[in-house]
Amino acid sequence: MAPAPASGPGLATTVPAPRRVAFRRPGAAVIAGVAVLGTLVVIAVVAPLLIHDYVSINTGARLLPPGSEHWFGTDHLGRDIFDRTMVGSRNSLVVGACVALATTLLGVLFGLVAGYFRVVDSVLMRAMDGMMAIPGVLLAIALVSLLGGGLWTVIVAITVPEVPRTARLVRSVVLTLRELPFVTAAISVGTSTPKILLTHILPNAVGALTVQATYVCASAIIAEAVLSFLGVGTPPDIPSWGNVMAVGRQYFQLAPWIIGFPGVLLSVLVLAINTLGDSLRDRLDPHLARRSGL
Amino acid sequence: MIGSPLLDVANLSVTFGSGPAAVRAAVGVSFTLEAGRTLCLVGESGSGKSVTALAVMGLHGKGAHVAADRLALAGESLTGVSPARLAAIRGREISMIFQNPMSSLNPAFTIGYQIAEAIRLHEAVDKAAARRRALDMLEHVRIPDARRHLDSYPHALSGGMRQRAMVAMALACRPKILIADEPTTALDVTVQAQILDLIETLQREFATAVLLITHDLGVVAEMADEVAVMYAGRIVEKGPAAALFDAPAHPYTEGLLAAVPDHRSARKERLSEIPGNVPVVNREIPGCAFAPRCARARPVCAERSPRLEAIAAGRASACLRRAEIEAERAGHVLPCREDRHA
Amino acid sequence: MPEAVAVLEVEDVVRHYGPPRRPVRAVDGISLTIRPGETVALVGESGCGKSTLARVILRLEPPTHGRIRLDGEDITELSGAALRDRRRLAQMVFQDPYASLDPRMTVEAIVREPLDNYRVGAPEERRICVAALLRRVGLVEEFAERFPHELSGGQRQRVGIARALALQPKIIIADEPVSALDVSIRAQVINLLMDIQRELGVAMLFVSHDIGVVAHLSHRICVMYLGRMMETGPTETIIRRPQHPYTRALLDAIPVSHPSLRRPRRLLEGTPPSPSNPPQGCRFHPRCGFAQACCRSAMPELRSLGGGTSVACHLAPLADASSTQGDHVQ
Repeated sequence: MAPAPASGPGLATTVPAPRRVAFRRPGAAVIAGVAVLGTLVVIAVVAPLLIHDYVSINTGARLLPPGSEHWFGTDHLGRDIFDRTMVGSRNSLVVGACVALATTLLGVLFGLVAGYFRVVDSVLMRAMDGMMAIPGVLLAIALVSLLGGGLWTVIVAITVPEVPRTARLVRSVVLTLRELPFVTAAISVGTSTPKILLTHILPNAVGALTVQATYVCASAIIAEAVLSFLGVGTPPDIPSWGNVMAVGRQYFQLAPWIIGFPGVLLSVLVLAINTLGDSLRDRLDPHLARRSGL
Repeated sequence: MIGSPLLDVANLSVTFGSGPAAVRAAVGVSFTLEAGRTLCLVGESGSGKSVTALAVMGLHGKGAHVAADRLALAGESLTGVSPARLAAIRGREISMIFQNPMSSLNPAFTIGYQIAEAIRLHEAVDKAAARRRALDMLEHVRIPDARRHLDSYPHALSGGMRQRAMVAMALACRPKILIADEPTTALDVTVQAQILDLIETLQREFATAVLLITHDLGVVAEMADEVAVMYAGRIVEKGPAAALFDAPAHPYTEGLLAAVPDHRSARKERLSEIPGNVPVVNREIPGCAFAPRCARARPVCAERSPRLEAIAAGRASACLRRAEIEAERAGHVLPCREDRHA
Repeated sequence: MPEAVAVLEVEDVVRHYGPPRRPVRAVDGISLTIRPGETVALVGESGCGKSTLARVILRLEPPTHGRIRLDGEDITELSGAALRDRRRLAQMVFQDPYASLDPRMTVEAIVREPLDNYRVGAPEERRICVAALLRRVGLVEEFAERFPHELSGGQRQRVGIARALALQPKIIIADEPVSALDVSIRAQVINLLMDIQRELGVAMLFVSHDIGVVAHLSHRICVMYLGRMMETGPTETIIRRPQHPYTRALLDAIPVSHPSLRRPRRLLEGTPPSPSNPPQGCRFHPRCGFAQACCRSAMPELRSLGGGTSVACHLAPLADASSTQGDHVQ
């Protein structure tokens, strides 16, 4: 005899589902990353308010090594490296954040459109390829000579070649997602195309995008330093890690601290952002979250 | 029976991880397999059937801990044997085919090359001889135009043909045991019938024992001499196929058999269903793992863990209420008989 | 035959992919009609075009040729808002219960989406409606706040069914709805689909490769092979007296239900050819044991044999149809 057939709704599913995995304790690397980034953000906000004299020249204190008077030493004009580095952190963070934001917004726009609407895909992506082919440094030089040096020139110069990368990423995510049955399901229950893009596709791309944004941010900070180092970035009167290091290049053997301190901070900041990006990727991926929720 | 069985597994356990978070994927699994016979391991997802097979092959990953009282092939213990010896046994004494033949064949090499390599790994034959043997095997598994397909790449073959090539490779060294893990699940029914037929024919020809892992009771009915039904990592019932299908002893087996729609009885009634969900074995379940879904469960089932106990000729069942259920059944039958006599 | 308007009429639908000169003929001239409350099964092996046909019927893909009428109205040429408005009459249940639910939405949001799309009732009423739908598919209310990854396969498939029921469709198109489920869960979902169908009188197109499941819950069966309809008729007739050699081969290939029923296998040799290069004449002739000269040259049209059965075979009715009957009926 067969067991009594289950009758009535509910019977088959009386086993309650497990509770959703709540907050997971972050690892040491993530805590360190947050601490580093947080400290530098505070410094970037506060330093320019506290430190006013980071440009005046003091020929009596040229190329002093780190000491109690000048923690990070001084440069060839007797300027305090600590002051200049602290103030310069604002520049780096602003560039990183703005580039990441601009790149993500433009990349999402182009990526979504190219990925979902087949008609414009090839045109848009060829345009992206063209953008990708512009070397950032040359673009920066061109923009500086056209518009004059400045923070915004740097941001534009770094953003332009980064946008296609994000757009390509978004497009590939969209191409994968649009073939999934849940998107087909959304179409068949009458969801409009804009709503599908915003409620089904974009949220499922957020994980990949956030991670990408952190990498863009990190590489933008480096790119800013490189451009300033080459003299096509932030003008010398606004200190940035890049132009502080550019000065240090000439005195590297005499005064390695000029290039050393901002260089180390740059590495630490980029490392912190990348660490956060990696941990975000692990957290935002629902499959990984489910596995660790077991 | 004289001597030891071909494959002898006693009290095999596979555990992933350790401590309280350990997942006990297989617990106390015991079975034997005789030469030329077919044993079907039946179960749903997470029942531990595939894990068991992989552990027998020594193919469980680094994360798994395998323990067994006895794990022996033709009298030779496979536990604690050197990796080199195990590698020599695999492919030569035991081989395995999988559900997805595409991912088990290397897409970068031709079919013929892969079969020949499998032969040369275990036998000292030259390339030409190995190639001849490969061709012979492809003809054996009835791949049409075998000579041409010897130089085909896996992607050029259909799903059924790939599975045939896998069978050819697995049997190239005439192993004593073929382990087939859901070999037909990814295939269409007409192709499934072809592959099952092929396995059966070659089994007869080579006197190979087959350990067939499947979720499909139809495949079991087609192929099995012996059946072991697994649930949540344990064997809940085993016995000769016909007897088990005739009168399933364990309520889970009974439920499974009743839940399969049969096209031959074209009725439009409700199927009898097993309520609840397939359990995820990530924690120790007190008592019988099937109790929460069992129509015959009593409070005692949630407290005590049933042991697999012999019931009749080669049959065993792990159910605390086995005796009562049997009496119940007998009670149902007896009055009818009296009626008929009256 | 009842006079009611057919819920779905598919007329000579063709769906080709790729270059027009040498297209992949996924669906190549299929006609079928489904009346209210009827379950029609579309059976065939992988690559026969059954899933493509389902997508074309829902206008998720445009047909290359042919007409589709949903509840009497031609939807072949509709697009945009008009198509969206019509689409609510036909809803879909998917094969993969994992991929067919948005992983970032709660069960409530998933079932509610169709109601929001068509502004069914006031927003607060929709909440009650979702709860009722969940109850209907056998899920307690607590499931509303859960995410798909917290649910088992069977529970997810129930959510998918609730979503399909939300708009009170006239027809449900179920594409292999139980083939990804465990054996013990399969029966639950089959029962649920049958209960719903009986209660709500909704028509169903059930796409499956499993003739056992299909025989259990369908009124009529359509057998497809390489984009063509091979045989169609009442389930009972198809199962007991299959006329087309391919239908017979399909039935022969089903594993037995008991070891004592084992018999020498009658194997269908080979595999289906590519739909981009289908054979001349009858699509099935290269694998058919009965094939004759006419089968190689002329493509057989679907013709009626009476009793609601139609077969696309030159040789039907097969002479020895009755002799195999014993194998198909226990």
